[in-house]
Amino acid sequence: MLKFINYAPLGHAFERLNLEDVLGVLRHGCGSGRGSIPTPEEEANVILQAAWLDLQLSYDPSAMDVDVDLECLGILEQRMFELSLAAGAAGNEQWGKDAGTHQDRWNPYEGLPEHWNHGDQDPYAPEFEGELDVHRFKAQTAATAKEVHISYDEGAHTTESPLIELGRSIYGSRGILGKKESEGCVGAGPPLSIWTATRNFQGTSRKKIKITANNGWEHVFARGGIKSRFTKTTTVDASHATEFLKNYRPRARKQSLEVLISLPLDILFEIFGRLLPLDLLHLSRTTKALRSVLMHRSSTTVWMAARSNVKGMPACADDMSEPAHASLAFDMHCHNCLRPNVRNIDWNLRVRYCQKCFKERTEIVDDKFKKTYGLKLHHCLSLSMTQNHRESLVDELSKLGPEERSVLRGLKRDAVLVRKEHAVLCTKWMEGEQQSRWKELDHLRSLRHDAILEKLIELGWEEDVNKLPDRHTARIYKLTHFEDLPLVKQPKPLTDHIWQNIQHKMVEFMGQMREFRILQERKQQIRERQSLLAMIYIRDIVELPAHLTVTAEDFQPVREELFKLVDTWKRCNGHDLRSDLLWRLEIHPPCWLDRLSVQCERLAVAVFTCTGWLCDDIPEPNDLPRYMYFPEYLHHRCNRIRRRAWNELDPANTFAMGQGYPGNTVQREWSMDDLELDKKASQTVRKLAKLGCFANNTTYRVTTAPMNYYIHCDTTIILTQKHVLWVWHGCGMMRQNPKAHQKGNPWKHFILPTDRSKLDLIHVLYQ
Amino acid sequence: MVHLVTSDNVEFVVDKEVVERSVLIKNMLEDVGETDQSIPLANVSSAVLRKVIEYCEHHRGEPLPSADADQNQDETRKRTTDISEWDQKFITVDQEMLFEIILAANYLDIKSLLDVGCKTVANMIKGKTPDEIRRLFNIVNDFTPEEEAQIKKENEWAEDR
Repeated sequence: MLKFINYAPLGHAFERLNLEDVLGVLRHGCGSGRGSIPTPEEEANVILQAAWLDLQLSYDPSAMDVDVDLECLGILEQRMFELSLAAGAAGNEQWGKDAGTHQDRWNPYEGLPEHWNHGDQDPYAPEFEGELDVHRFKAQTAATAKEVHISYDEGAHTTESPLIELGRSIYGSRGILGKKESEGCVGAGPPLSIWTATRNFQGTSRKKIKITANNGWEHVFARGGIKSRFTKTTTVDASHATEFLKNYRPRARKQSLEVLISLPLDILFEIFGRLLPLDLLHLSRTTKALRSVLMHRSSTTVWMAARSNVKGMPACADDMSEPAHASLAFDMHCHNCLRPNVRNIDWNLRVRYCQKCFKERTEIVDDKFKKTYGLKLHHCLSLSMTQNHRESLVDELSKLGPEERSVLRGLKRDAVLVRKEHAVLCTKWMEGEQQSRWKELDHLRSLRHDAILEKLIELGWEEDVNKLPDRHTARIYKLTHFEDLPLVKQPKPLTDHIWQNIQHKMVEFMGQMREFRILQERKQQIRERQSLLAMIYIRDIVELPAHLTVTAEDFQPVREELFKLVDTWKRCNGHDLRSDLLWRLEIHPPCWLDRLSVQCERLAVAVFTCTGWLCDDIPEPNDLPRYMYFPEYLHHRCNRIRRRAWNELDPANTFAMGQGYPGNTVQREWSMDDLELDKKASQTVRKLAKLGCFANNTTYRVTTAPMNYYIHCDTTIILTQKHVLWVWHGCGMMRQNPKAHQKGNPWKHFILPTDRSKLDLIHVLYQ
Repeated sequence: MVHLVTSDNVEFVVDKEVVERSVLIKNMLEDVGETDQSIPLANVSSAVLRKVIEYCEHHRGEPLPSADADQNQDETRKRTTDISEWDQKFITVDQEMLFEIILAANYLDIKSLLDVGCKTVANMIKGKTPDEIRRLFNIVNDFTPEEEAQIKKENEWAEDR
């Protein structure tokens, strides 16, 4: 501590000394120049110069291991490649995977300053050449070279690192810019010199190195190798590097077309003769030179040879060129709008059009045409034609005299016949191809399917594989059937690599299937248990030995049990219904009164309509609903059946209903959910009840001016001994004098349930 | 033993049986008769000849395709682009060497080697789009985009257009 503090005055002294030095220089320099006091500007200049000189003299650059440019390039490279690599496809996308031409042939280096272009770049050097060479280099040296690991010892690091750093960043810049230069060549932009590095090695000697894509490696090897980021620091024995450099031959420049076009024509044709017509078409679209060779009549033999490589392909028609024939058969784009993946070929018209173009550019030779151009012309054409064809034909005919016309027509007719013949052949061949292709695809699919199943079984999914839902089940539960999975139905054989990629997705799918299976099995189990429950009561009977006859007496114990069951059910539902009705009819008994004590009569006034639409007489949509009175709404059939859902499994979850029930209905738990209380009707009935027309077959007089009405009550139902309830199934009404009716004129009956207007009348009457 | 001298003045001494797979040399030897003089091969470099001899050594003793058999074979030969395993390994060289081997095979008239070479190149081209072919052979696209669209529609002989 003391020692450290002692340095402080010493440091101050040095500082003073330095200042004196600088000021001395300043005074001396300025004094000799003009002999006057320096301006602040001059002072600053001199100080800067002095500082720079001092820095140059006193600092050993060889010990400097930080170079901002190199570091930056290194970081950029790391970000672009290693981090991108770690990020996977997304990383590549992010930085733009520079393979091939840019969209719309965009040249990113267009308009760069001229001085960036040193004109020393081979625009056609293959992409990643350096990387390939590095592998070769590594392979060569791996056997013999000793890897010298440099520890992070201060001294060693300072001496070695500049070289290593340089090597690393050349590697980096090669990696980045090797891509750029390939774009330059594709995009026809100027070749780009990538980077000029200036380094001061050994302190005194300055050497300027120009690093380009081609010479970069030589410099790297000459200086001792590459620093790998993964092993700590690696360099290669210098002798090996020089040895490699001796053998290292930069790849010969490849001139455009040199490789292919420079071959003698016979060899070229020998090669082309082994290709398929589509390959020839593609070749003819690579460059003008190749196009001129292939689209010349002299290369007919090549096209024929290529055609013969396609099994069963019919010969080219006489009035058609080989390339046109090949293009029609194999080019998958629309011949008009170039839309890809068009399979619609008309061999008669010799066009491959997409649907839109087909509609636009062809027309059917119909009656209208017949009328306009006459029957004769009509006969010498095929069923449809392109518009251009029609126009040219009409033009041609209009120029000719009558005899010449008939000759032309004859020619056309013959041509059409020949075309048709050829078209039939070609269509047949195409269909055959299609069929075999489909078969092949199916075969490939099934192979992949089986292979995936096998792999899954290996992983222990055997049970799930065997119990995968069938198509029907999958459709009902809106699941994807195994065979319909995009990963499964591809017509590609399953390689280990593909399996690696799809495995987790398949396992995920199988997990879902297992979940589904377990759910289904559980459902099945519950259903079985339910039916078992129903069976408990009659099992003894069902399982009687075969030779015994089952009689009605056998069911006696079951019947007794049954009453108990029904009673329990009735009690529960009655209780629920009672409170429900109380609420619906807005009857509010005092809280101290037990709900059960509310008289049934008061509840029986409820009138319901059915919304279930499963009743016998399903009303028309505009019909008024049918009223339901007590006790019909209790035993209404819609309360215990329901329509089977379209996606319900077969066999149904529950007992199917027997004869007399609408088809497609199944039993359900009793519920009045489908019934709706009709408040207005209920109020009317309540009024009637208040009136007291309860007795069976009695007539009550209702007097309202100016008319007298008589209400007749038909039916009484005794529910229990305690409560008597009346129902107005047949409620009649009569005006004026009831005696008049008794004289042969029957009651003018109206049935309440079906006639709302009458009910409304009563409602009005008893307002 | 036959002495062969390549374009870069390297002398190869090869078994007669091996070297006679080349129809050119075979005919030459038949014309000249037994000789100790070396045969100059001006069109073939030593690197390429080494490969060619490697091929001939491996296929030593196999019957040469005769002239008339050639005709019959022609059809089947063209159809199939399968290459035997050894040949495939043998021909896995860089493009430059591949084309040089083809040229040498053509010059020396070694049908089967020429065949292998052509098949290899054909297999390289097969199923590729124009753009992929260009990239494969480092060919520059000299069509403008408009031209490119146009030539897709033009499939007639150039002289008919």
